Amino acid sequence: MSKHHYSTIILIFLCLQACQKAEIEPLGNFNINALPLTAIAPANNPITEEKIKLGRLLFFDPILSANNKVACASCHSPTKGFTDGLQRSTGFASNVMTTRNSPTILNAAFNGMNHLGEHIPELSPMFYDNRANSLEEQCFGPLLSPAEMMGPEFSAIEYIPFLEEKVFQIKEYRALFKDAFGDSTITIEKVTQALATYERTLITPNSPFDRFARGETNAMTEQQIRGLEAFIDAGCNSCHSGPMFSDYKLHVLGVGEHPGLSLADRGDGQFAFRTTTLRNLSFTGPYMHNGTQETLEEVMVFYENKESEHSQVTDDELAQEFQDLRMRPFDQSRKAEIIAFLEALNDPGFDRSIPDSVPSNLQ
Amino acid sequence: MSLKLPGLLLLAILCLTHFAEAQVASQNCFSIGIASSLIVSGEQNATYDIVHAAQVDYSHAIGKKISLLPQLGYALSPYNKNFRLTAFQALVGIEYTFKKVIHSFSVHTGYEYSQESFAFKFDESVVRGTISNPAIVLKGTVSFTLIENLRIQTFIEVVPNLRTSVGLRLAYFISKNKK
Repeated sequence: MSKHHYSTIILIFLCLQACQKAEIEPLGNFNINALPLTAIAPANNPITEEKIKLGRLLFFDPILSANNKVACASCHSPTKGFTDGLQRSTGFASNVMTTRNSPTILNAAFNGMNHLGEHIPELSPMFYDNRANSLEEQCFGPLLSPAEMMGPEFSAIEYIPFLEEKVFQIKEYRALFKDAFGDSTITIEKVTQALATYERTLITPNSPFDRFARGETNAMTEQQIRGLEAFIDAGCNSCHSGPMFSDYKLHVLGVGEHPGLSLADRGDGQFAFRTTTLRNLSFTGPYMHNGTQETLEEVMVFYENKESEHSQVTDDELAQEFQDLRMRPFDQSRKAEIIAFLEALNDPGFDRSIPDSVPSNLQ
Repeated sequence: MSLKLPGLLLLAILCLTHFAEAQVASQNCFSIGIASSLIVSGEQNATYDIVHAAQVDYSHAIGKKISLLPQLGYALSPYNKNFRLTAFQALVGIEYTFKKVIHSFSVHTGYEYSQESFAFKFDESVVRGTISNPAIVLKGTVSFTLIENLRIQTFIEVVPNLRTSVGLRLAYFISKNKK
């Protein structure tokens, strides 16, 4: 070969080497982050051990329901990632289903936290339609819902004193409330404060992703690392952002209506529902606000299709972020990577313990 | 400067080189090639879809129409600034030469060592790392002769579990003896 040919070969390799040597720029501004290791509480409801103990017992005690059969844990079981594993929950009457899927309360303490870690516990959006603004406020919802714990026989005005009196009649609760709040009077506000305090202990900040984001490079598998890249590349983080992988905004996705509903669930009134967290999905299926999608593979296909499956929602009404997703429907390995990354958001290390008994001795 | 520019410059240089020194390829000869391929599936298809490569082949005739074809190659994905694939390949292949429009067909197999460098910036840290994969490569190539020493080749390359890519390669054959 002539010198000219050698120099051509060398030139090619030098060019490629130059490209390779260019510094890898860290991919930033994708607005997802690790969870903090602890949750913060509102100033008027500081976290104390006594309140956690009381809140935990109340959480598992059916005494809070009018028929003494429904506890918070009935729909938020620690054995099912603090959901019930059903498409829609059984509520007050075991033969009547509620409208929506039971969301996990794992990490609900962080709802509203943005990607900078900024969080105001008093302004934390709750429920699929953001109708409550803190864990304390959220707790009123199921307690006073005719479909969930209050039942159809009571109005809220009637039920609150009934419930307070019912709990007050149990000696152990009087002592527990005194330890937690300084006196043994029982109000529904104290009940919700104790429940919210317990929920603030139900956090999972040590998923493989969290450890990776804190600098533990080996915490995620190779497939999960590629999945993180694919997740960002596809634009999933447009909505699933922040440490909770949710922007807490209401979006119209056109999820198909649950066939068991006689009246359409209109969400916020316009068929928009809050972006749900992507944490702990392996424990919290089925998915979507009405549980109509059983597996993550089904969910992925839904996002690939980007079409409304709801008879009252047109494709034009779908959220722009949803329409802008850059999925690759025919690339099975990429889909597997994204699902692998979602599995990196699981942290099985949450408190799964169930009290041996509750003060009411109800089952 | 766009990272695509070096690739285009290389193509231009190769073309100019050819037109300046058209030669007759001998049966035993070296060739140099540059290739661009599109990853179409596989785990390495997360984002870096386009891979450029430079390769050197030596064609050793073992029959009238059959040649042994060892190949050394170096590849990288230059367009993804955050997640970069680099790979070194050592392959050996067999080439069958036709007389028709398709000039030859070759299959290669061999070893690849690839590295994927990544960097993510989180609030609390910048996480950098490398994923390394030794792997087997299978490649099939069809060559079309453009002009005397220049061939355009289409290929499909399979690195099981990691990627499947399809691409184009421009190969310039360097004969030992000048006309």
